[in-house]
Amino acid sequence: MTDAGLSPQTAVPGAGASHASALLDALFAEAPVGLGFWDRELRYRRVNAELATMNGLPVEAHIGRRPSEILPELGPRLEATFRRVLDEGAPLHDVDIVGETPAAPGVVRHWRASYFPVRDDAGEIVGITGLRIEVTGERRESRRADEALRRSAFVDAELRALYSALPVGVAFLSPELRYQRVNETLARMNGKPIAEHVGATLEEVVGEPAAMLTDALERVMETREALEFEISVPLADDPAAARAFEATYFPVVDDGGRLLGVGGVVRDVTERHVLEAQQSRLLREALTARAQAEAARVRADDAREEAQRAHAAAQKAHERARLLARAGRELASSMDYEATLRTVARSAVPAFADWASVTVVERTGDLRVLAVAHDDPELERLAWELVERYPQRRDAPAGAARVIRSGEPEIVCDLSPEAVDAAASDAEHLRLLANLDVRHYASVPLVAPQEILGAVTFVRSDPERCFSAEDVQFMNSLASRAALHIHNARLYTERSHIAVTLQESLLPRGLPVIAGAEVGASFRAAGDQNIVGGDFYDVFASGDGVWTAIVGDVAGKGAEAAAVTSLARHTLRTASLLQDDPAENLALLNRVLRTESPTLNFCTVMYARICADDADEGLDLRFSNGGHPSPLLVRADGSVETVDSGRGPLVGAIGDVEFSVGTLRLRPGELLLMYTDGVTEVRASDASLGERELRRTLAAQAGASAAEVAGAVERRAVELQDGSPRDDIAIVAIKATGERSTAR
Amino acid sequence: MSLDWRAARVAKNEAQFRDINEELEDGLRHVRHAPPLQQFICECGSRSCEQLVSLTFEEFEAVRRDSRRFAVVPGHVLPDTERVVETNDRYEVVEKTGESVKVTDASDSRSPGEGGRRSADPTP
Repeated sequence: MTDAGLSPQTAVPGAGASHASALLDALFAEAPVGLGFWDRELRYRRVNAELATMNGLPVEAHIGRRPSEILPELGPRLEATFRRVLDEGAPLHDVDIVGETPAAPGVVRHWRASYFPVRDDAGEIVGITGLRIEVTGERRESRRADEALRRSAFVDAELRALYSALPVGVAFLSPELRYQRVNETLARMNGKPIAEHVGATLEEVVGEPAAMLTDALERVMETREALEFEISVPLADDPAAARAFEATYFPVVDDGGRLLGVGGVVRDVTERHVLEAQQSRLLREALTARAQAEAARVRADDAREEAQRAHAAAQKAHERARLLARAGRELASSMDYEATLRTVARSAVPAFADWASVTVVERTGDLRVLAVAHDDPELERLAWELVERYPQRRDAPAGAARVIRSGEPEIVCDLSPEAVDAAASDAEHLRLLANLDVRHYASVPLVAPQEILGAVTFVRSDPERCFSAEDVQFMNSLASRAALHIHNARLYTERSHIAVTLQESLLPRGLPVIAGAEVGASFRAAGDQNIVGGDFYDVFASGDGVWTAIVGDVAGKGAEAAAVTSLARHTLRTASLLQDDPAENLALLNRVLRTESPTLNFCTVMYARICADDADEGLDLRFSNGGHPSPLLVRADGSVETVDSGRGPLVGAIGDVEFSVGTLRLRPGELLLMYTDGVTEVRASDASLGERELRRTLAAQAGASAAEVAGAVERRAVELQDGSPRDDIAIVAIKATGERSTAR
Repeated sequence: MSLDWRAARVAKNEAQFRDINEELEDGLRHVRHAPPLQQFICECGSRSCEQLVSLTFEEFEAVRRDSRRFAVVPGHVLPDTERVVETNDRYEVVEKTGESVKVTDASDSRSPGEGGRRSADPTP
């Protein structure tokens, strides 16, 4: 320790100064505090090492300098303190000094100092001495402690505020699971005041759920991990009802990791649960409703598809019914056998099949295709070529032959190319089959009451159009109708042949040549050709130069009328040879008819006996009219007169009748027309039209030959009935030519 | 209208109801607070049926393990094309038979391309 420039004596004058100086030196040297001495000019006179260290300067750097000269920050404040001591002459204790020194620039340090005035013997203040202790560490600890205290108080207040303000229940339980702290919310949840919680066990507070809670909290303490769960607690006043809580429990540990207890946050989620349950129920209902809607859509699709199928089936059925109806009409339109077969084949093409054929059993038992129809004429030609070049044997194992033998339909779908190959008898056969593209075929029998007439075969080429059960039903229906019509047509054709033959037998094979006369005749049967008509005519020789012409109309039609016609014609032919009186001959016929059948057989007859002896002057006619339309006389000038003489009753209607005789000279150029009522009864709405037209026609035919007149009269009568006369027409025209002929 | 078409259409409807129910199940499984019994569409082939059947998820899945099986309201059975293989007071399980299985096997979305699945106790 040195005291540069200031001796202790100067500092501490008086007796025992050396001792005091030694003591002072020792104090300055050993004291663990900073010591210093300043003169009245505030210059350092003495400092110890401790103080020098505090200031961060060597002792020597202090001596003779003021604090402000060596301690830029602290110096002014120290000097102010020193002046105060000098001024007041009193010590200052526990002065806090805070600031930086060169010992630790930038570091704020704390010291506690005391300063004393140093007086000389005269009591005059000669300087200041002081000691300074560094308290930086203590101050920091003190401040930290203060802060910790403040923080603790704040945290506690904050916690209290938080506890009371939180809308959720909060609790802290000790490791023994006793409540340490709860907030008002949790107290309300538990139905007990806060005071009853503190120190209480779980069971004492929550009752029955305590066991589950204890398990959960012990797990939290054991795992040191938070646990979140929901718990439903029955209400004390309504055990059926329950409140739902959502709880989170977590371990509470101190900084050292020591478990202090378990904290918990509990929320009453009963309302949320109720809402969630409602939402869940609504959501489930919505999901179910959507599923039901989708299921309804499936059912609606099903119904729609079935309706569409039903509609399509109905349309198909309607189309088939239409086809059948059309086929029926077409079949009914003709009674011609082969035309009927063609109609059958044609009726199914192309609506039902691409092509169709009809195979019939001939009287020999052989099979013959009589009708083929294809929508494509060229393919129809190929089909014809196929059936004609490769006819089916009656014992063929498949196809129409088998169907005809068995009487059962044969349906073959998806005929493979291999099967077609196998069915072909040679390359040409295969070519025809390939060109006709036979993919599916169906053959159904034509079943008549007593026999199988044949088979109808339908062929389709579209791979997607195999024959269905409905198709088979249609084919059977068509075949049934067709078989009936074919059967009828066959019968009709046979009967027509018989009728035509019979009708021809009832008419003269030819007209005789009469000297001085022309004879013309015309006959047309009305209606179906297989019904023998009741009208007849005949012109024949009845002796030398004598001829008989008759025109008659037997009541009724058919076989009975034909028999009467034949009887009347042959009776009059015979009678005319035996007797020349027309009235007698009609009377004879009357008796014959009455004898045969007294009630049903009667007829009208115009009987004329023609004598051509003086043919150059005309023809002499004697005639008798048995209820027949009066003949017309056509004069050479075209005038027409009715010949009413010789009229008598119907022949065969009543017994014992007499007929009268009329006479007429037919002069050259004049013509007598004998006819049946089929000529004049042409229109029901105008009874006289036929007769007026007849007269007009005859007048127009003046000068024409007898044959021309007969033809013209028939044509006009047919025209007036639109081509289909309702009754038979029989006409005989006799014209006097005035020419003598050698022919007799 | 052929019976074959009707039978195939019934099988197709039932398969579609199965698909609808599987989607419904998926949705129901995502709903909180699920009750034990869930409501499913009756998978019967009757076009007029709009009823629901109650099954647990486990029961529903047990039916689904077989492509040919369907859960229906008791009595909603079409004997021509299916037979009952399980019954209780809430539902019956029917198993498709005959040609219909082609439809139900091929349309099972849980076994795409596998031609259907059979349960561990298929009816022979």
